Order: sequence, then C-alpha cells, then structure tokens
Amino acid sequence: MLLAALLLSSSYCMTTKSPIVEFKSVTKSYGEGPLVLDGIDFTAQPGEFISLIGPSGCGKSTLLRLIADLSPITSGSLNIAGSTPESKATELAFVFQEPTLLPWQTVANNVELPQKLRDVPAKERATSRDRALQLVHLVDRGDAYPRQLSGGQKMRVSIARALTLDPKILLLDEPFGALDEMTRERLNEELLSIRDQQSWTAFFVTHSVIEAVFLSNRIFIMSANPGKIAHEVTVDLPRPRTSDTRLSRPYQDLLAEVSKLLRSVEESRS
Amino acid sequence: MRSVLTNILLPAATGAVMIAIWYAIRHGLSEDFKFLLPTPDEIIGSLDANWNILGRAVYNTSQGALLGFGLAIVVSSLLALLMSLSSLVRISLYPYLMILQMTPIIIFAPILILWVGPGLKSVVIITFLICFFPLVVNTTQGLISADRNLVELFKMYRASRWQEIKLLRIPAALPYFFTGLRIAAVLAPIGALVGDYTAGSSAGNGGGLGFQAIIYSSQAKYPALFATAAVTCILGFVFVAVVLSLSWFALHKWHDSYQRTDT
Amino acid sequence: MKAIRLLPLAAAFIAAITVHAEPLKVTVQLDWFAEPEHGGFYQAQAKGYFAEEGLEVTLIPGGPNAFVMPKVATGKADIGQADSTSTLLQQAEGLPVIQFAAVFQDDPSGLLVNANSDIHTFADLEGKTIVARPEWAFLEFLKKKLGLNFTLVPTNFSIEPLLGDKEGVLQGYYIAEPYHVVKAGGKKPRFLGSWEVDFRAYAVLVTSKRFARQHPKELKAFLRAYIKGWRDYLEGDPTGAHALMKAAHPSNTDEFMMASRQLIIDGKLVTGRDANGGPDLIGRLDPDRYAKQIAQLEELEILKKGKVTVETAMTTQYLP
Repeated sequence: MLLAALLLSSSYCMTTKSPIVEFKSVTKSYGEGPLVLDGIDFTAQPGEFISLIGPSGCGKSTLLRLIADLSPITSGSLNIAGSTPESKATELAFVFQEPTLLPWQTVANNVELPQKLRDVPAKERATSRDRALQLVHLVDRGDAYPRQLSGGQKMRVSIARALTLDPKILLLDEPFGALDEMTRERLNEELLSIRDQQSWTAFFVTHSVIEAVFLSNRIFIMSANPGKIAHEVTVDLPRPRTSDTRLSRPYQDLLAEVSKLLRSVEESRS
Repeated sequence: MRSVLTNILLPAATGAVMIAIWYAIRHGLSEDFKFLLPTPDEIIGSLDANWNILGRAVYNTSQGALLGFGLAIVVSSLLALLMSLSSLVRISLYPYLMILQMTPIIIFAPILILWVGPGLKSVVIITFLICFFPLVVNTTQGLISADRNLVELFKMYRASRWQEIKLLRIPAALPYFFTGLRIAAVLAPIGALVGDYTAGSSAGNGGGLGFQAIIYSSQAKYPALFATAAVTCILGFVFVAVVLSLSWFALHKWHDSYQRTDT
Repeated sequence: MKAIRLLPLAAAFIAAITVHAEPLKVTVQLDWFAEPEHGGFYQAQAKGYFAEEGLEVTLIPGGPNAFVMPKVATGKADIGQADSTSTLLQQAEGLPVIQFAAVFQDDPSGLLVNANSDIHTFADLEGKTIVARPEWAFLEFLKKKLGLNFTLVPTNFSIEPLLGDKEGVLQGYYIAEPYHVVKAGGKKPRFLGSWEVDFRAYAVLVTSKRFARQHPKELKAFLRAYIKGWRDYLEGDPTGAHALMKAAHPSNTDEFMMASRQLIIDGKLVTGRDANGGPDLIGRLDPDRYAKQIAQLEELEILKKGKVTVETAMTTQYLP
C-alpha cells in the first residue's frame, strides 16, 4: 500500500505535469446517425481554462457531455486522470445553460443538493455551502427561493452548487448566454476570482469571442459537419485579468485573430 | 382602510339587494304558485326543524365524499408512481386513463349499484371513480415531466433512483398533483351526491343529501328541499376551500401559480 | 228592408253564442303506464264521451317518473291520478291541489312480497328493506301504528326485487305487478294490502285549485264522461279502451289487460266493497271517510293538526 503510494507519487514527480483530460481519436455519433464529432485529439493539463467556440452543430456541447460522462464515446479513448466511474461524481461539475435550480428549494438547499445526494452529513454540507455562497457573493440570499432571484443571481447559485463538491473539472455550457452584457462581464470576472481561490480545470463552451479570450488560456475553434477542432489559439495574457485587461493591445489582437479564425470556419461550412 | 370597507360593504349590499329581490318575487307570485319559491326564512326554519335528519345526511354524504376522495388520492398516487417508473405500464394504461378522464364516468353509477347494492359502499366507489381519473392523469404527468436538465443534473451526481424520485420527481409533480386535486375536490361532492341520489337508502344511518333531496321532493316538502340544496352547496364549498388552502400551503412560496401581483 | 239584410248577420250571431265554444283542451297526467286501472279514461276516450261533453282530452301516460303532483300543481297538467292519503300529506305541505273524484273506492296499493322470502305478515317487515315511493303515507302509518322499523329505498319501479331468491318487498298494485312477475318466470308474489290494517285510501283524481276555480263547468262535464266511461268499461265491451291502451303502451297484452280488468271487477275496486257499493258509487268521494282518515293520520302525528281539513282537501261539487 505504502509502496504503491510511493511509486505513484514518484511517477507524478517524474512527469512534471500529467494531463488531466486526454482525448485520443475520439469520435461520437448518436445511434446510427451521422458523426457529430470526428477525430478529437487533445490533452488538457490541470488548471487550464479551455474555451470551445464554433458555429452551431460543431459538437462543442457534445464534447462537454462526453467529458461529463453524460454520453458515451463511439470510438477512440477518453481518459480523465485517476478517476473511476464512481469518483467521477465528485470530480466533475457541470454548469448548464439554464441555472437548473430546484424551484421548490431555497438557494441554500439548492447549493447543498450535490452533497445531499452523496449523503454528506448536515454540518459538513453547511460549511461547504456557506463557503460556496461566499465565493459568489450570495450569502445573504440563502433563504430566498429561485423565483425571487434575477437571471444572473440564479446562475451564480448554479455555479456555487457546482463548487460544493470541490470538483477537479468544471464544465460550463454557455452559462452566461442568457444574460445581458454588463452582468456577463461581471460574472466573467467573478468566475476568474473564484478560480484564483480554487484549483479546477475548466472547459467552457461559448458563442462569445470576448468571453473566450478573457477567460481562457486555450481556445479550441471548432468546425461543423463533422465536429472537429479546426484551430487552437493560445491565450497568454497575464493573470489576474481585470477590466483593464480588456483595454490592452494584446487582448484586442487576440480578439481579432480568434474572430478571423471563427469566420473562416463558418464560411467553410457553407 | 377605505378599500377594506369597500371590499366588505359592496358585496354585502349586493347580497342584501338580492335577498330583497327574492322576497319581492315571492310576494309577486300568485297564491297558487307561492309554493314554488319558499322564502329564506321558511328555508331556515325548515333547516332548523329538520336538522336531525339533515345533519345526519350531511354526515353521510361527507363520509362518502371523503372516503372516496381519500381512496382516490392514495390509489392514484401509487398508480402514478408506478407508471412513472415503468414505461411499459405507462404506455399500456395511460391512454385508457386519459380517455376515461374525459368521459362522464358518472353514468356507471346505476350499474355499480346493481353490482354492489345501495349504501355507503357504492357511494364511496362512485366518488372514487369520479375523482380517480383526473388525479392519476395529472399526477403521472407531473412525475414524468420533471425538467430534463434537472434529471441530467441528478444523473450526473449519480443520484440513486430513490433519490431522484424523492428529491426531484415528487416535488416537481406537486403542482400537477394539486391541479388534479382541485379538480377532484369539485367532483367529489358531486360524485357522492349522484351516488346517493341513484342509490341512497335510509339504511343504517340514513341516506345522504342526495337521498334526502329525493324524499323531500316526492313529499312536496319544498322548503326542506331548498334547505337541503343550500346545505349541499355549503358542504361542497367547504370541501373545495380546504383543498385550495392545502394547495396554497404547499405551493405559494415557490410556484408561479401564486405570483404576487404587486411587488 | 234594412232589417231583412241584417237577418243573416243576426242568425250567425245567435248561432255563435248558442253553439258550444271551441272544446276545452284538458290534459290528464296518468300515474303509470296505460293500464286497466285507467279504464274509465280510455273507454270514455274510445267511445267519444269526452267529445260529447265538449272536451278534448289528452291522456298522458305516466311511468317511473310521472311527477303527477308537481305537474298538476304548476298547471302543466290539468288533472292527475294519485292516492288520496299521500295527496293529503302533500296538501298539508301547502300544495294547492284538490281531490275531486274517486278512481278506486279502495286503492289497490300494498306491499308485494317475494314468494321465496319468509315474510308473511306486516310484523315480518321489521328490519327489512321496502322499495316504495317515498311520499307514500302508508309507510309512515306502518312505522307509527305498527311500530315497525324498516329501510326505505326509493323505488325505480322494477319488479326485480320480486324475482329470484331475494327478500324483496315492493310497493305495487295487486291488479298488475303479480301478473308481470309470473310472466317473467317468478312465483306469484304475496300481497299485504293496506286495508288489511285498517288503512283505507282512495285512488283519486286531483286538479289544481286554480283550474277548479277557472273551469268548474268543464270539471263537471269531465266527470260525467269519466263515470260513464268506467261503467261502460266494466259492464260492457272493453275492446275500445284496450286498443287505446295497447297503442299507448305496446307491451300491454290482451291477456294481461283482460286479467287485470277482471281483478278490478272481482275486487269491486271501482264500485266499492262496502254494503253501499254499486255502479252509483263510481267516482264518489265520502267526506266521512276523509274525516276519519285525517283524524287517524293526525292521531299518529303523521299529519300536523289542522294543516288539512276535509273542506280544504276534497270536494264533491263536481260530481253529478
């Protein structure tokens, strides 16, 4: 037992960074249908923030669901480091497009839900819950019901919920798509500040180039029919990123580059 | 302050006017036809005089309505749960249940009475039948209609089947259940009355309000007939009011159907 | 000259006022399907006696939901047939009707008992279920006079309780139901007659007080024709009446109608079973019998004292 631990830790030290997610020639089709994803190949290191951007039908949401094990891959291999099917539940957290809160529960109970489903005792649940609510600045709304909250607030509750089980991987599927520009910018900044206090790897699907560049260190630009990763852009803007970052030259250049690549991908499909 | 007064005074005044009109109509009727419209005081007097019979009738009808209603809730909930868990059962049964919900099931009352005989048993069965279908259809609908995203969320967190039912499907089904319950609450007294009307007898503790209506009607005791009608309306009203209150308690905090119109 | 030209006009005028006005339309609501119990009506109809008296009579057959009393009280029917004692109770409740002629001197209503049961006397009814019209005064009489307790089920008039192995007790006319039971394959039911316990009711004709006020002459004419009809039906050839009864109620067989008529004749139901019975008694009501009946019901507290008197309940003024 001790020997195994020793071996594991030594192997960890030898490879400076072992990938947390590894896609090898992964394809995906639903039943007898056409290929939704074809030849997906990449590795992600722990702590990375990867955005997926592309036209409709390029399979970016599907890719997220493959990682979350909500859907099986058709061929190829998908590895999530050190995880077994059982451990996946606590290691992955999914933030949907809609806040997906239980309308009949208070904010506090909603945030506690994942822990409740894992039979975590009440006291521990409360601690994680309060911490999560603090991170999203909603501690004083614990007793409110979802219908009393604004769209942005509900989304923050959804994120808080995702964080309570200390996930290794955070999957976000256009979480801020339904919100207005100002709220969106504010939540982007909030998300990054949470990231500073925690240590998850993020996969973020978005339609917004601005969002992708602001948040990520890697952007996958995907093409459709079938879904492929057409281009990859590295974003090496310094962190922490603030509203000032949005005014910097490198940021603007990256916006232009990603937009151009995105357009080329959209044009090529028609 | 003003609006409270208006909210009470206006309806009260209207009520007084309606009663005045009632007396006026009665006064205007020729002697030969006065028996067609007893005055409110005649009705109240008859209510008082016949209270020992009518009281028992109220008890009997309530008993039939409550038992049938309660039984319908229990059986429909169990069947709904079963159908939400097994698509085989649901696909086999649901169409029939939906069709039966849309038909005037009350026509089976005489047939039932033929099989089961008159009395409380048949009243309960008829009430059960009339309440069962809206309940089972609505509750099943509620159990299978949980937000798909929430279902996925639960799947993602590897929730057990039981956890999914207890924490997601049943709460999500509550609004639907209460919709069915509200419908059934209106129907239950009607079912009990029709059951009684068709098959009531003075057996045991006496018949219910429907039975009494027949008796008073054939005996030309018209003030008592009107009194029976009034009592029946009140009974039905109370029944529905209780269910509406339960519905409010369960849902008002979180469900859209209880939005406040002012902020 | 001018006068002569006026003559045709005058003649027409005189003719107009002396010839009968258009015949009065009278509706009669029967209490059951057309059967020999309605012999007086149908024979008068068949033989044209009503027409002779200047009346255009429509006979509306009844059945399970005849609603005779409400119809007569509200004027939807002019004349109805009912039982005298139940009518007394309803008159006590304020129903504005009046009893003005007899159909049967003794109402043949009673309790028909399934022959397969062991109910033989009224005392045996204790604790049993009786299927009957809820307004039947005889039921209250049984409770109060004989101290009986039983369960009442409002009748739907099916003879089903009298068939097979049930303990059925059903209100009925002994001149009709037993025949149908036997025809349906059952055993002839036993009959507990109301007069056996000193409860004597008439079967009567009733009309609303309003109609009586407005058409006294026509009521007299009606009774003349009706009584003539009964006499002819019982003593003469009933073919005419039976043909009409069959048309009104096709399940009437000649065999049934002749048998029922015979029972009426044998039982002296129309002409009276007492010493003073006979053709002259047809249709007659005896105020003394009413006085006795009212006193009996008041004593048993079935009728509230003073609610109904002989004068307010019945009249003989329209009888010939």
